[in-house]
Amino acid sequence: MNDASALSTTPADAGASVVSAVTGTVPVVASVTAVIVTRGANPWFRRTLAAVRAQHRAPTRLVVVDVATATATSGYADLQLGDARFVAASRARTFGEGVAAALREEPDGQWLWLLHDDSAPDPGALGALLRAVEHSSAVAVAGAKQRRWPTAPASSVTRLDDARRIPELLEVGVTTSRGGRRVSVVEPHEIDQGQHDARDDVLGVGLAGALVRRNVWDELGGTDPELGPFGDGLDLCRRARLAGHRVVVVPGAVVEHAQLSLHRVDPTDGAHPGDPDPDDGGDASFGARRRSELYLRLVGAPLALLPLLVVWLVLCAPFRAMYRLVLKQPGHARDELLAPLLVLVRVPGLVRARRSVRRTSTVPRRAVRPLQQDWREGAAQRRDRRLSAAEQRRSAFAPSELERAELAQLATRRRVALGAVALALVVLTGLVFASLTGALASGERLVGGALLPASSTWGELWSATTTGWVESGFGHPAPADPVLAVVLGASVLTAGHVQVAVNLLLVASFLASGLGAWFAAGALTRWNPARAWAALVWAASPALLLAVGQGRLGALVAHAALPWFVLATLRGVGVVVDDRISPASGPLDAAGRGPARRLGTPSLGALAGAALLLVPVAAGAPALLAVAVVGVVVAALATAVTSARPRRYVRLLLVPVPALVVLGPFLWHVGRTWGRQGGGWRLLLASPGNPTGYDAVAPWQSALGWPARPGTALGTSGAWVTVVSWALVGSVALVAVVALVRSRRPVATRVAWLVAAAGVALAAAAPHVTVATSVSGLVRAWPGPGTSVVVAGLLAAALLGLPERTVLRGRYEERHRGRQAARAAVVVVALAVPCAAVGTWVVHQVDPTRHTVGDLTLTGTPVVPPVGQQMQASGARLLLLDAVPTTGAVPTVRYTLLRADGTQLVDSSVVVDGRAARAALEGASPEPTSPEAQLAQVVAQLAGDGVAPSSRGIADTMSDLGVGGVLLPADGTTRGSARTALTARLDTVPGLARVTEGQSSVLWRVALPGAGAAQTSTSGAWATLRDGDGKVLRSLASHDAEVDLDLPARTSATTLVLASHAHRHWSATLDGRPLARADGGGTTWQQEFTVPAGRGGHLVVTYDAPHRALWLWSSGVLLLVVILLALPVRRRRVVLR
Amino acid sequence: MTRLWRRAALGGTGLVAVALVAGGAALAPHVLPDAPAAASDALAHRTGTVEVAPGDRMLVCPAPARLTDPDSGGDAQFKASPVPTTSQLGALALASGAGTLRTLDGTKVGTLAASPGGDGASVLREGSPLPGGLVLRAPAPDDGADRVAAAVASTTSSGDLRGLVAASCQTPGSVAWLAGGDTTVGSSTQLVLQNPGLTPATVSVRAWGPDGEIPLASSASLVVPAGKEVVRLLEAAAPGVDRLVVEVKASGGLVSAYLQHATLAGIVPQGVDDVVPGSAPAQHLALAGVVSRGEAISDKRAPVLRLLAPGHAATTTVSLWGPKGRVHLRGAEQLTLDAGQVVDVPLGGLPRGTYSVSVDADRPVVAGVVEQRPGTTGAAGQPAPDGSKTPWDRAWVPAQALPDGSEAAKAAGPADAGEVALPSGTSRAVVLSALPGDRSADAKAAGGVKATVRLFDATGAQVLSRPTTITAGTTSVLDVGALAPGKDVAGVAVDAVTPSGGASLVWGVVASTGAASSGVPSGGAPGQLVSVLAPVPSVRSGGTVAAQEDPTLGLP
Repeated sequence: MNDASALSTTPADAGASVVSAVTGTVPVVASVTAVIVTRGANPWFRRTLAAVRAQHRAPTRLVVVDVATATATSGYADLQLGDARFVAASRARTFGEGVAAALREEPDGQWLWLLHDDSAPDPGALGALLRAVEHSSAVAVAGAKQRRWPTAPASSVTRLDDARRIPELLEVGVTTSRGGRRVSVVEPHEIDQGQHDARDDVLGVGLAGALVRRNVWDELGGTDPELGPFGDGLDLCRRARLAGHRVVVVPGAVVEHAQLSLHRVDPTDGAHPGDPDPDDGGDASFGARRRSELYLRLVGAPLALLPLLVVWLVLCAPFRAMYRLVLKQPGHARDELLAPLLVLVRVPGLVRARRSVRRTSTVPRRAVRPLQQDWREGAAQRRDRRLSAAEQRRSAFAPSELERAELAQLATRRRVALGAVALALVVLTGLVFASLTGALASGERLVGGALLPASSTWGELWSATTTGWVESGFGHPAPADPVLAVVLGASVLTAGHVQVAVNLLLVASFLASGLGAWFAAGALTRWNPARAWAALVWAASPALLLAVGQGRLGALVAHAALPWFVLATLRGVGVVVDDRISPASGPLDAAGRGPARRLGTPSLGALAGAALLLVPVAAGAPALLAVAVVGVVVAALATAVTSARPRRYVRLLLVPVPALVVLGPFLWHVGRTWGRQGGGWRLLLASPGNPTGYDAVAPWQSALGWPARPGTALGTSGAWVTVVSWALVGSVALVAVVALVRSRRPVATRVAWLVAAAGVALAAAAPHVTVATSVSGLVRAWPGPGTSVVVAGLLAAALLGLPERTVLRGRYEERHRGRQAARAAVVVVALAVPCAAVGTWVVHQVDPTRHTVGDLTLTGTPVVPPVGQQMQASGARLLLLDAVPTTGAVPTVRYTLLRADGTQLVDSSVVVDGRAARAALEGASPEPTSPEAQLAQVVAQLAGDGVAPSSRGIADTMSDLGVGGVLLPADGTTRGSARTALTARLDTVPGLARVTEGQSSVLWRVALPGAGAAQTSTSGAWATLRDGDGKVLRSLASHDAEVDLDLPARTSATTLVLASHAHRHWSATLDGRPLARADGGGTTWQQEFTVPAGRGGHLVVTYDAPHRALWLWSSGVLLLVVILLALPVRRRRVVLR
Repeated sequence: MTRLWRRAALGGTGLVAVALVAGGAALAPHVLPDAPAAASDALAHRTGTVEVAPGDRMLVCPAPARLTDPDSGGDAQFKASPVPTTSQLGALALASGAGTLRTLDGTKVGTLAASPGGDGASVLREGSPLPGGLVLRAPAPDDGADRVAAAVASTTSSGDLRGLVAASCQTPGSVAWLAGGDTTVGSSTQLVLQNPGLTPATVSVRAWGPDGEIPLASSASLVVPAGKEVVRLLEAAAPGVDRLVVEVKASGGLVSAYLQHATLAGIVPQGVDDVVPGSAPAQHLALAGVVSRGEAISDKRAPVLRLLAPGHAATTTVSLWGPKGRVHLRGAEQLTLDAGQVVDVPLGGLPRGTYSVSVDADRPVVAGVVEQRPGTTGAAGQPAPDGSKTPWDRAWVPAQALPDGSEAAKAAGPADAGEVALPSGTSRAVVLSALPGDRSADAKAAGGVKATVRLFDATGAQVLSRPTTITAGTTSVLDVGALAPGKDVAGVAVDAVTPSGGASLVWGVVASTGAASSGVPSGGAPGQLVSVLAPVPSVRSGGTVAAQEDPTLGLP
């Protein structure tokens, strides 16, 4: 008898205990068969058995059922069963079957007392239960009040007599909501103070420690065999209720329940696993419980509502799973998704259960309604729980006044420094882009260098990104550039304005890079000047400046996203440092450093964030994805061997998965062409956009962060430039070298150096790889991403080597004015170097009066006049011509084929460029019959010297090529008399009709005889309908290499011709029925379909890349999962003690 | 021990890491293979080299001379055109495919056989009456260098149009500079625009006079429909301008433009001729075939050089190159031209002879020369002593661009200098001048030009091939009639031009008909009715074009 049990026992029970102290155990008047179902001999069972034996009112019979399947009898060596009967029921799968096995040999007996092996009853439990039932024949089930099994030493089999132990309630009867959700009146960790002792009639009770009338048990057929350990009691009680019996909870009877099933502790484990963690809330058994709950709802629902309920459950599952993902419980999300499906396949069990309910029911279903929780109570309970959880979080960390003040001071200093850095970055952005802001926001185009205009709509961007057909020239089957995915995402932010999104990426790059570096540096050091230094160096990195100045969108995105990715990864694996407020708890070492710092906890959300942030990094520079994959694999392998907690690193392996899937088609193409001549691996190094060359530098200069020659990059030269350009990263490298010798985290420092080495390799290899061709010759891969990695690695190493601020200055530290001044001077110099570098760049590369930034120029004037755009909108392509004044003997004319207002970002493809580069390297000229060669021929004939061609054949060829017009741009290089001559020549070409008059750009349309006479109608279009002789009957409006229109029937068979390379993935349907391909005798390059005579209808022409839907769905679902996981919902702890 | 191991391991990895970075940076150039060079340089530059087939050669011939207002008059005795105008067309093809002669609107008039090659030529002649402007179209030979010339001459023996109007047919273009004509009382200057193409052309016209550019109210912009001819009277748009220069710019199609300039003194014809396009504004110009009858310095009938610096004020040097070498034009050799003001320089006081005029300026200028010949009042054929009653005829000489001195020195190897088709019924003198590269006032002429003059008769056979050497700075005149007596010479070509010492050849043909005029130097073409035909240059078409794909085209 102890104080704790005295708390809960009633006075009557106290009297019985007095009697039993004198007379020994009092036999029960009613015959009670106690059944303990155990799984093997385990410590909990021993205590349970002892507790049953210690009952003041002993059960009439005691049956021990062992349901363990293969337990050696040696496991029971020291077990004293006494007069208890032992039943081995290795076939029993559930508690109910175990009880049934026990009862098979027990024909009589009025009551069953059901006990789990982990439920130890108080000595007066049985007495209390019997007293509750002895005056009422209506009670069929009497449940006990369940308390948490006390935290006890593993070896203890006796009750812990510890007065300080606080009894925690687990269950005082359960009920369900109206919808069938199991609810308990007991809050988690609620302390038993007798507050629920007034409860009596309930819907259900847990079977552990419950007294069940034997004939009711037999009548109901015991527990439902489909139910495992969860919900079986509730189900039995509910059926008992429906059969007209009462179910009561007896607060006087106390059972201590360890809930081994809930925590999925296997008691048969040889070693005692210790106490289950009460905080995990039964995470391990969530799926099983969810399945039981759904099963019970299906069993309990009225038949009429059953189909509705099934649909509802299945439809709800994804949303519940999403909610679980937001709560960072991916396992639960999986369970939520699977549970309805697993339950629904158990149709026979469901039918049997429903039939059994119907058979035993004597009262209508509504009889149990008063016992269920109504929605009002449910809402109140949820609100209470939310409030208490919030309160608990608030009170979890309660700093003292002193700590509060220090925290406030730390926060103030941090915010001031952050504000200063942000201000500096805003000023920099303003200096660079201020003169362009208004124009950029209104969607004017910043073009030049590698940056192409993006006048496409969101839909065009989407189809360009996903179809796998690149529309440049005559079309190519090629995956879209990965960077388009980033632009696609950014244009969601700008409500579908793609050009604004591109502008936004450019303008925000300094801010995003600098702030990212600030926060990422915060994971390595908490010294604010060091963080500011890192932010400025990163924002002044040559890789970023050159990417902005040359319009290299990919390198820019990668550079801006890289620090955020690093930060998320470090947080994800929990190797970040946090602000510490208490003074160092140990003595400082010789270097003045405090004891090693405890690192943070790994965060699933941050890891998901890292996975999400790797997508822009990889899309901007696919080579960095390769580096990241190698990095995480090496990290996972290395830590799996060496680390005590390898799991946090093994989870890293999942980080590249979203990027791998989103870049799937591109990587698939790279892999497919990997080993061929020219090598698909080059595409990993290629930078998207217009191929632009650069002045290559020696690798040692790349190792100092310069992807191209500093002189040309900064637009000036001289001693000043030399000093500034090398000091920028050189100083970082110096500190990084020192960090190898003295660092707080030597291993991390070395990892950072290895990262830098990978960057050097990348940057040094890039100029040796040919990725594209341009009018000025072969283009080598841009080393920018490599130098970004170099700077990142060196910066990280340097930050790890800088002295950490261990205590707050001015509070605990005496002032060393000299040292302070020296330190301040060093900080000022360190911060001045990046400012000087970026200032030099701004002064020489940014021209606010001419609205240029480096190679970028702001332009608001369209390349194609509006009437030309109208022609393009109806499916025509325009041939842009520009004769270049050359000194050579051969006249040169430049041309390009436009389907929009200028060559679009979506039309550039590193894959197509790579093919051209490979052809140039191999010297493989295009076939003379290829459309490319034909177009060159047309261009030469149009713009050649001398007298214009007089035949209409040239217009016919243009029409075949889908060229609807010829455009002489406004500000081409052809000027003066040469331009006049070219204009005159084009004027006289038969089949070309001048459209514009008196404008700076001159436009002709291809007008074959018989074609419409309207100004914008043209005989050349991407999709045309032709008769048997190849004569154009009609040009079809097309959009994004797709046709979607109503076609009237014609009396003779016609051919649908696409001015696009033939490919087997083209498909055309007329009213849903596919059209036959016309092979054109194998001589044509176009894709052709035969439209039978007399058939009309809705014509749809599309290009269907293989597995497109699969890729889109998997990317979408994966991104959704990652985004949900990355959503910051749980407040993180800011401060570690 | 473990601490030692740990320190050693950390130190080792640190060294390795630094070595990787530093070594990678230092050794990369030696380890990595060099970037491969392109096997196809053209493909590396996105360039395709394309052979372009030569196109058709098109020559547009001026219409025969016609009256400005044919319906005026009424009195039969004072009819403006008492006698009909006879017009002739001659075409000569030294190298071309078979061509056709059509009217502007496409009616076929004649056929020019393909050139037989070798020394022969094919000749087409059409006689009066010509239906107006004609277009000769002939495909270029395979090598693209075609040599086709055509000319139209119309002769009127009396009446307002008395005179010989002859001009070589011209290749239609988008720009034409017409230096000549005036719109004072008694003069008529018709601007004739011909569009032989298939697309309508929009033509803008600018005119300059002595006081600068003349605002042309109505005629500034015209549309010339495809296959049509448009005639505008400049005296209506810009009356009372005694020195006129006209620029014609076409867009939408190529046009051929000329001025028909006719002058009357009362009822006495003072000369008629076509002002055909000369060189566009250039710094070095030459005009061949200026015949001086030895006029006095103040003689108003002396040849006149018309100059205009259209854009900027220019300082020009005018040099005259006669049969015996350079003749200095005292007081008028150095001229400063104000921008936009047309200046006439009288070339009186020259010794009798045939000259070529060169104009060298520091800024682009345009130039033209007019020369006049007196006729007879009566049937006797003698010139009247009193000039007032004497009918005159005039000839406008178009300017040819001269290569720059340095360019001329570079030009190597023999080249042809074009050809002139000669309509029948005229006497002709071929004027050849070798202009030295250095034409400054005190320079000594050096070098010369060797050339071969070939003459063809009406059947196309070559009747003469004479190698000629012209000393630099001199002009030589070949009388076609004397060189090929009794032959009906249908064309002349100047071939195998081999300049030396920086000299360059300039030539033209002076054609005349009628009785010999007074004071005309010997050497051919002495008739009273005169015109000067400029050579039709050979044109090379087709050849190789580099087509370069540039996606950034049109973007700034």
